[in-house]
Amino acid sequence: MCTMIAAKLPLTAAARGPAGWFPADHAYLAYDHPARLAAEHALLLDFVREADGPAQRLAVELPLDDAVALRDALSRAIDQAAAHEGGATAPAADSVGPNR
Amino acid sequence: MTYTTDQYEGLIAETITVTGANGDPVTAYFARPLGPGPFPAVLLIHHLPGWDEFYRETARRYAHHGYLCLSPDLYCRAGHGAPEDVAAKVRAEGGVPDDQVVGDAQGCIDLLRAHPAHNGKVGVTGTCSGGRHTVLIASRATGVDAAVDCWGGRVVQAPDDRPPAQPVPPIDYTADLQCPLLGLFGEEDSAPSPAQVAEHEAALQAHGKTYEFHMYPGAGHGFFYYDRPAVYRAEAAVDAWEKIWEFFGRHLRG
Repeated sequence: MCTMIAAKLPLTAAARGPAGWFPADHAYLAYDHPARLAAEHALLLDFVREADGPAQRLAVELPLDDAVALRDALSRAIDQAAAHEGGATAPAADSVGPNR
Repeated sequence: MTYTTDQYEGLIAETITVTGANGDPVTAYFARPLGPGPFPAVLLIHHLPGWDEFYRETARRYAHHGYLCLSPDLYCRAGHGAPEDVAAKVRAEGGVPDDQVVGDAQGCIDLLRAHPAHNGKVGVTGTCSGGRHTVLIASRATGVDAAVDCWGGRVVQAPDDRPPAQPVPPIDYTADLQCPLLGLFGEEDSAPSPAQVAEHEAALQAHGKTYEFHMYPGAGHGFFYYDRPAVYRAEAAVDAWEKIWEFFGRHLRG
């Protein structure tokens, strides 16, 4: 660990690796030495299913500029999704509420 | 060590199991010259990206130069798979604990010292996080006669960098450093930065330790890695390897 910039968060996601789809239960995030990208450091993003061992991993190594662009795009998409869900779910929730 | 084209040469390299910290079995790659010896020994500590092919090749290189070379898989408790996959898991868990690394290293040193072809001298070296571990092992394990730190990051840790697995920066053990230390660094490296290298050097001077530090202009982190064109610096690597052979030769062959 040369930077100590690392995080791990639980997920209930699906990811697709070389062996097909698997349930991803964690994401690993780090900024450290990449295995393949031609750079000293990179944003390292992994989706894993821990119970399956280290090999069950979907890995991406991003240059920092690309990581920033991805973060911004994710942010925009998440905001749009939340707005979309808010608009779609509020009436639906009302329509199935106990007082209707 | 001078080579001639008419000399006999052979080596054996294989995976073995060493008893490490807490009595745990630790996988290790052992490369050694054929013949009765006596040969000096080198404990080779892998880098953050894992126990990968570079370390097997480097172990064989040490054997080619007449050393018993043992390289443990410090990540073996995390499971097995492609080195980068195992390293990703270890990284997410905050790295391996320093106490465990020292215990694993002690098991390796004891095995090397018990080997019938050993000459009684042990060096330790590693790159990247393995450079940090080298400083730690040379200070906290027993039976180390020389150490080579190749750009070890976090020998100096920031005040807010005291995670449970690495609670004490290796520089804090400088008083306990038991052997001469050779340090090889790149001027463009950020971990360790030239300022951190200077801080380590000042601590070594303050404690009256024997050391040699070399800082290569135009080189960053990982300048030995010939399979990483972005960081490989041939001129610095060739010079640094010559310094390693001279340093280990002087301290381990005598």
